[in-house]
Amino acid sequence: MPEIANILGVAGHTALGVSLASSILCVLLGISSRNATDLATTYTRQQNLIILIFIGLAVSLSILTYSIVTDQFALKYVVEHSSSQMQVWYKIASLYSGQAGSLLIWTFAISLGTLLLSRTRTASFQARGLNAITILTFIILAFLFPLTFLSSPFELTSRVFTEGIGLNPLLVDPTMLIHPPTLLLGLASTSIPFAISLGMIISKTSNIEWSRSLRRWTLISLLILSAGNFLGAWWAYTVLGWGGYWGWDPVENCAILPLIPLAMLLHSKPLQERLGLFYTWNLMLGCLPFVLAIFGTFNVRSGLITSVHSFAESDIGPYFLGLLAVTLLTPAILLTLGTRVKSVTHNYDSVLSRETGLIINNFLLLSIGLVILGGTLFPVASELANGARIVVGPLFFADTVGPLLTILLIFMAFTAPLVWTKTLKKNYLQQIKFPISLAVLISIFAVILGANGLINLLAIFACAFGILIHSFEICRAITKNTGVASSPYDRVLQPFKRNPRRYGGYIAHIGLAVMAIGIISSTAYESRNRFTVSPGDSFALGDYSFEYQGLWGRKPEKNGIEIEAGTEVTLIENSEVVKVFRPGRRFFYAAPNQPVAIVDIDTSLIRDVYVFTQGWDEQQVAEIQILIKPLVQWLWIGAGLYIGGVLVSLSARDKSMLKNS
Amino acid sequence: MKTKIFNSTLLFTLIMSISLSAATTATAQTPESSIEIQALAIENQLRCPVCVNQGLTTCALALCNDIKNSIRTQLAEGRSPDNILLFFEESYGTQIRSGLAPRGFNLWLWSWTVASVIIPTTAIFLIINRLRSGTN
Repeated sequence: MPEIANILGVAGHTALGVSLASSILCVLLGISSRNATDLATTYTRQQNLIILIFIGLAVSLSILTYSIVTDQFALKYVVEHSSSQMQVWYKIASLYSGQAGSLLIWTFAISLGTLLLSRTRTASFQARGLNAITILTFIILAFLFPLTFLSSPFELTSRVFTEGIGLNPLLVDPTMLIHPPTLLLGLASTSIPFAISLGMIISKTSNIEWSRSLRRWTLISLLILSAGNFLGAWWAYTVLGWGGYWGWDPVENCAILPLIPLAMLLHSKPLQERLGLFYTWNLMLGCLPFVLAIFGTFNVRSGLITSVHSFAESDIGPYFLGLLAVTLLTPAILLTLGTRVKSVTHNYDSVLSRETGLIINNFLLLSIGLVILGGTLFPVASELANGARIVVGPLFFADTVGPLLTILLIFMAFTAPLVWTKTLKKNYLQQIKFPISLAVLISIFAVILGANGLINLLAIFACAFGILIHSFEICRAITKNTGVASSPYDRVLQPFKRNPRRYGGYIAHIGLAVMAIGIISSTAYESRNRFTVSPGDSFALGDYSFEYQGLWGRKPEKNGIEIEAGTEVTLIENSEVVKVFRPGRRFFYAAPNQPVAIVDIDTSLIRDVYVFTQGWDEQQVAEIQILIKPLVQWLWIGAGLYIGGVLVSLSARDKSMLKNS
Repeated sequence: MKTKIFNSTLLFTLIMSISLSAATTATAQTPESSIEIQALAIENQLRCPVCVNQGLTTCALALCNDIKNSIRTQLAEGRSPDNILLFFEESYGTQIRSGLAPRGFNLWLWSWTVASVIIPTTAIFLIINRLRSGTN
């Protein structure tokens, strides 16, 4: 076995070396051919080298996967992150549970994106294409360097091991099979908008093909990164056993921060197309997601911020600090020194226009981003200034980001019926009066039923108004059908086919409002209580009655789990058992002092009954915590709608008005 | 046909919005003892003194359970929520508070937050004014 591992280690290193050499060549080719006359030849050579980089990384990833699956414990990475006791899919999850593995996936994902971008056939690919491809290859090189020389996944152990440590117990969950790779893929995908924008900055020109490409890749990044964050929230809700899905932990903040400039860019790009405005702004926004992704990676790897998510803390933090400085300063300096603000041709006739709405929403998103960034960095700043780390908890973010998000939702709703250039006041009032009245009625109805808190009520109004106005706009498009749609099905689909960019966006907005309903109701109107009970005891929370039956336990004999044990609690309605909950704890051989919660949830569209056990003693006296979380399922439904909306928007065959310049 | 689609979508939206709102608020009325409601409100303002970024409410450590029990005991003895919060702040330091009081070094973060709202808002007005004057 060690001989095979040795061969695999050498092969893995060689594959990485091939990618490294190819990326160096590709970068040199890009730099040296800046003044070459035959750019097309250079581009073809770069395309070939990119294929080589991709193959090298694909081979090393396959070798690492094979090593993990076949328990090659002569490799240090396999020993530290895998175990022969784990099922094959959890073994595969080991690929990204450690630093070297996750860096390899990052690099592979960037190379995949580079490969796809390099195959884009555009009429003027040469100058911008070369720049973007060279920048992307440089990024790959920057990731390959630590992979090859500082933190290789193919490093051999100094002695023979027969078993590995296994996965971090918290990661032994099916969601972990898709959440981390999705998030890594999303973070890596931000390198493409970065490279395209920086390419434009270097060439000091814009180009219709690359602008379209920028929009498409921004949407792709937004889609993947959002999905990664939603899956993370789902994992937190179903695994961590605290009843929440978002803790405003610094690492979580780092994962959503790149989403903000991505969303801003999507909303300010049309302003550039319509007004000729925000050219430099958009280039900055194109670069920022990747800078923030590197910032997040640096945070996680450096241990700079204290987080419950710091699984991959390591000593290559300073390297990422350098990379962060390069990615941040390069576009900043080039923009400051090298680009002039383009002369604009205004076509702004009225404040009551879509342009105004988009400007307001863009800057609201900026405010939200800055507040999150400030709260995330404040513990570090306080430690540097005072020597004492001041932790910023969820309450700060709830008090600051919550109201800003509510205002954003309200403006989002008010913007939907606005048209470009000038909206007639009479038409606008006509369009909003019914949804706004209905939203006010719903809010009053909510007050009558007991809703309280100004921000909560404003948020309920914002969500209702947002859902209604966007739904009305979609209905209006369906009923205004000008085509030859024959069936009702075609009529409904026609607006999405005709203008997927707009109506996909509306669906995404409805999704956000529905998500907000789930968030507001499950946090502001949640009920929870702890009960210390003996077998046979009954207890109640609100209208729900429960009975504690006793303890249970089992030995799954897989995935390194030593024992699973917990309590059996029944939900009783009209003297009948309607649901049996079996919450408990999962104990691992490798980490006996780090049990993981087993949560049991009774789910419905109206509420979730969330049950978990905090502990028990020898007399079977247990401490059980029950949470009633109203409408929390709408958070996931909203997330699905949002993703669906982004997908519809992505299907657009862009008819951009941007002119070649 | 147009009216039919419009009406059904309107009805769907209306029903969905009202039912969501009703469910939100109906659950808000879950009867809780006043001490339990106050205790949970206090718990929400405190964090675990041991764990990283973990709220008191959600922490399962024995120490946190003791603090939770102590909150209820103190409430039953008639102490005010502010006094109870102060008691825990004196016992464990200001770090036990989840919120960030606007005092001392914290004022830097609050200033940053205010600036994060004021500067973009000013930018909105400036840009719109410039656009308008450009047109005029």
